[in-house]
Amino acid sequence: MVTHEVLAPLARQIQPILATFVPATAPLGLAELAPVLARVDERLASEPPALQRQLRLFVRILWWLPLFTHLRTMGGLSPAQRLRVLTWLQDCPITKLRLGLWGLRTLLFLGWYGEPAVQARLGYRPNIAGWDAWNAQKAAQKQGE
Amino acid sequence: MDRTIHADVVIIGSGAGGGTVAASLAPLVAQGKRVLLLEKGARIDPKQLTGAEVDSAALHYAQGGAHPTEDRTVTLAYAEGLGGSTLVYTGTSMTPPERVIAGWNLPGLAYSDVVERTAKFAVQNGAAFIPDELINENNRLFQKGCAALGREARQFPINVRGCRGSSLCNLGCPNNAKQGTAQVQIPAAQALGVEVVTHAEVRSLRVGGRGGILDVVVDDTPHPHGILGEWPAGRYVIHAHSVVLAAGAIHTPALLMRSGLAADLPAIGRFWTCHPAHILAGEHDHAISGYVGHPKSFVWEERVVAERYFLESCMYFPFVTAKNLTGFGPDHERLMAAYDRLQMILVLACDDALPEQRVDIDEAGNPVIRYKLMPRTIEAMVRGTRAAAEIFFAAGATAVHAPSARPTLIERSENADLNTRIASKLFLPGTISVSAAHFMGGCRMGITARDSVTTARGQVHGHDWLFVADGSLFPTALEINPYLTIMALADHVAEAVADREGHTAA
Ligand SMILES: Cc1cc2nc3c(=O)[nH]c(=O)nc-3n(C[C@H](O)[C@H](O)[C@H](O)COP(=O)(O)OP(=O)(O)OC[C@H]3O[C@@H](n4cnc5c(N)ncnc54)[C@H](O)[C@@H]3O)c2cc1C
Ligand code: SF4
Repeated sequence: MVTHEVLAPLARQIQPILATFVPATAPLGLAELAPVLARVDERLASEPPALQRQLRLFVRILWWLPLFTHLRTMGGLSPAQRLRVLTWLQDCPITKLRLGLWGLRTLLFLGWYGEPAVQARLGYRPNIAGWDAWNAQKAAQKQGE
Repeated sequence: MDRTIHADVVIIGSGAGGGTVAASLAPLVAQGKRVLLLEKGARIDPKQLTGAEVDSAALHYAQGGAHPTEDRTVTLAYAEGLGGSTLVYTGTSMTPPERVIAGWNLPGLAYSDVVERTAKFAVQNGAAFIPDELINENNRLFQKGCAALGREARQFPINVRGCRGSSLCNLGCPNNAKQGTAQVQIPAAQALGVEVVTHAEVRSLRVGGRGGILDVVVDDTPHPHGILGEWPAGRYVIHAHSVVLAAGAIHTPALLMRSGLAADLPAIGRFWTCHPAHILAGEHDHAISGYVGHPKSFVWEERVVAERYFLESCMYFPFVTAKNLTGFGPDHERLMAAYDRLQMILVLACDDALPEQRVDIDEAGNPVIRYKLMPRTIEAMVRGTRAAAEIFFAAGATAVHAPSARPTLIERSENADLNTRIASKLFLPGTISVSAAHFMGGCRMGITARDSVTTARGQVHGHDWLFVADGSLFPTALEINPYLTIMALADHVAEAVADREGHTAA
């Protein structure tokens, strides 16, 4: 259970960023985004307050950054424009910016790819019973054929 | 009010080093000595482990498995709980290379002695080759690719008993099959009377009385498995005749620094290495059984001396895989969608032990890892990436994801261009995910207090009551998976402790 919200209050600003990192999340509304951000906030809960503040500031910077280049916020850009802006940041010469982006991307991946249902859709279906479960599943498949 | 406890020997930390010392010194109890094993983390109940990636990582690992270095270009994975990082290790059980141990040139530490001790612990931990029919396709592809290139992949001995092949080793074995100190050495030590105290963090130590005095905080934070600590919560002052530090190569140097020992021992924290690593993925045209079977079967290390890297077959969970694939967006998502068709290889670099690579502490006394990816290390990782790409293609992969390439996805048709496609100049720290789990050094053994922290028997220079017995003892990187060597060294140190106590260790 999340007792401390770090990124959840910035869901609106994060939505277009997450949709750029993981295009499959583009159709998600704010309510569907909540469990993703809750997972991230749970991970961030034990981080120092200064780091949490920096992260929130970084999200806000990303939101406003395209104003200088496209006269729009991140939310007003097309998916292709967002991808170009964030890819530029990923490879930019300023290490701090690169690291900030890497950190945010990794946290949002945690929120999304850490979800067991998403993992199952990717084909990751581990079982504590290991080979026994695997062989039983194969046998059942064979029987069904 | 602080409670005061008296003991003969106190061991701090219960991982590969501390758990081993506890078992080796356990016979002292029958000789009338009080031996305590203090562990900051909690006991884990394997029956309650679910294998869920994020929850299990949060349960076992410090900072969810991603303690960042100061410059945030490398994330460090280690566990905190009874058993230390042996709770989450993969269990590959390797004998150290002679060139490394001989290169340490430590009088009193013979290679033959280290080998004998590693063999003892390999047997104790049930290390053996996984039967051929239980090696999964992900591992086989590594062997196949190596064979096609005329390279010899060596099979890892793995320390399991009753392994079911759930592939969850790095999230804690839910079948209690993997043999770590929580399964083997600590129960043996407890059976002989060693007292184990979990939730007990040693904050500092100082000389006093007949040996050392420790300031310890026992917490009562509820643990998800509902297992409480052995002692009531509160502050304790423990007087001990001998103290053995085995808090791991991050926390052992940090604890010594917090305790003010660095003034006389300038090498504390320094010469720190970690085998920085990253995960590579090769895409195949069919599903690969990566998540069933033991995850790690083979190593290829023929270029470790000349080119400073070694490669291991490996399997990672979806979030860790997503984190390790460079970039984001449609290409990244497409590769993640191919997750069940990904073969994986881990590239590990042999990093140099340099005085400026070090563990330090912040104002609050918490560890800060001042570690930089040096050009030589980056070059080694890049060479390793090329060699791994060749293995992927030789095993039949249709495309390879290489973090130090742009674009990162290399098609099979580009196989001949690997030397130009994968390049050091494309290895951008801060963009590429690099992680490490083999922490070595920070309290290196040596001869003088000027450039080392302990003797070859782990005794801290100038402090006959204080010993170190964990990965921090290594003078240089081991160039192979380190846990068995840590156990061997810990056992060697335990003999020195027993000598001080005037008795014989196991
Ligand atoms: C995911 C993963 C996979 C690995 N796989 C392998 C492998 O296959 N083969 C191999 O050889 N090696 C492997 N390793 C490395 C191996 O696990 C470590 O090298 C080894 O466990 C280190 O032993 P240690 O005693 O130095 O520290 P640890 O095992 O980390 O133990 C240190 C203990 O000290 C405790 N502690 C810290 N500070 C304090 C304090 N102040 N007070 C009390 N207690 C404290 C910690 O909670 C911890 O339990 C792996 C590591 C990881 C993380
Ligand atoms: S593969 Fe074997 S050792 Fe690893 S988690 Fe599964 S049962 Fe345990």
